[in-house]
Amino acid sequence: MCRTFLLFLLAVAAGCQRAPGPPAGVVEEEVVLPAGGKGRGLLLLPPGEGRRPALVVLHDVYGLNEPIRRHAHRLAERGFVVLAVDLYRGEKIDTLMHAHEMDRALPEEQVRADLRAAVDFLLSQDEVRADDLGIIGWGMGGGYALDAAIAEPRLRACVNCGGRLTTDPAQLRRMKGAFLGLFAGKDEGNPPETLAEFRTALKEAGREKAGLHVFADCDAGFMNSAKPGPADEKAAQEAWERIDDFLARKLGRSS
Amino acid sequence: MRVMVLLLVVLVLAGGPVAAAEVKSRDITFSSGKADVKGFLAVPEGKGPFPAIVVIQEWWGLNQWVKDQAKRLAKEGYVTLAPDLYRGKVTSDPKVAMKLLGGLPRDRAVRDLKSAVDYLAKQDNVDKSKIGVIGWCMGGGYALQLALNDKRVAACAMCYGRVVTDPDALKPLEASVLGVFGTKDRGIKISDVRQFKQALQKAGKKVYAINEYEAGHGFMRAGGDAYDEKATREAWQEIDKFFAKTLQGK
Repeated sequence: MCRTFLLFLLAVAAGCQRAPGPPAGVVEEEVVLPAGGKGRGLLLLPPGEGRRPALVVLHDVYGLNEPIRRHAHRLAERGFVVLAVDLYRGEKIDTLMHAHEMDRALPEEQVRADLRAAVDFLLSQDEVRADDLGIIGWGMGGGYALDAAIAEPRLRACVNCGGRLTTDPAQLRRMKGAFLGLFAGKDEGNPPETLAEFRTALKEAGREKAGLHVFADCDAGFMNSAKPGPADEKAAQEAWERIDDFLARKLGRSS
Repeated sequence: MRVMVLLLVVLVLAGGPVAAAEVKSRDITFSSGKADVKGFLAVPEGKGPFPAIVVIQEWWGLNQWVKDQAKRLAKEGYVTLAPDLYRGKVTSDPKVAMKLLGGLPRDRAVRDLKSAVDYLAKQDNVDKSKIGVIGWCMGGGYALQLALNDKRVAACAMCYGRVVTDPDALKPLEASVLGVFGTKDRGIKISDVRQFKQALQKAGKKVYAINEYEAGHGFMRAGGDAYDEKATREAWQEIDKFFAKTLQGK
């Protein structure tokens, strides 16, 4: 339907935008999001028929790069329609300082607009089961995933992998969906004191059921690596098991 | 003659005539919600009441450079308080700074900053109707956030911090704004800076100036990769004039 209007099929002539690597039957397309047309991302359609649960995937400070794309594919291979949003709107990151300059500059209202557009976009897709929409993010994207889950009642599940938290119970009270947080014990950015503040805020908000797990021996970004495979294989595998289990329980699999 | 020489020596040892305006500084603790937050307080010579400025750290944390900026402003006649938003952590390693910035809960940072204003407003030597804020890098974005969230803030100098480009989101702002931005900044695009200025004007806000310098991100920090001495000097002239006008009525 309006897919042709909304989608930006970059590579029809070039062949396709199919992911390299194991052909799990996932189809990847570059898309431009509605509402201003400035937001963009990668849409990944899992194989199969019928309406499926869907996920917004958010990258860390390094942008929508290969590790995040691999995460997005992994989730699509498990039956989710995935929209990996490019919060940097096409800008590629070369160095840590570049990542920092982008991270600390990203206007909050731009992020909010892109994430609202991403949710609208997924819900307009024929393949998406509207009641089963979630969001997952790593690092910077984990923080924005939590913000989105607070602002957006249509999100039924949120996974924050090592991102910024909130300590305000009033905000957490507004979060309608389920929450899972995965953190690294050696991440100075999310020290035990901050996690304790978050737990207290969850309790005050009556959201004790939210899941929180700390991988004691891991450092920030342990699930992501520029090289194929995560920085910490064993812990990353456990993290994925927790994510898969959480998403399956909260959003279900494709039916 | 000998007395003169001696006097000269004493003057040089004291740091020259610039040091004539003596600044006292110390670490303090203030309450933010149920937590105690540390901060660096610098106070000008004299009884006051003085105008005051909250000084907000870069992503490195409350390091010596930020304390030096707080002391520099105190010499100009402001009581300054630089809160420790990272709660005891400070680094010179960009990898660690990335994590510290990345994990800082935004609601907590804003609460700490408002609590810093509370602290200043309660001091006998502070004129609580003349409180401003300045910040760099991460702190530049928080300077604007504090001004948006605290109507007591009369002047906001933001140096290459996250902008807000939605006029509606700028509605709560009461403070005069001075923006200091670098045209070579790879994160805050000049188009964003101009959009910010337009949004401020559209929202009917007090814009002192939104200045662009031909320099990169973080250009005011001596020792940093992007340090630009000329742009820094020019930026400080503007900052001093801005606070003198908005907080000292000059």
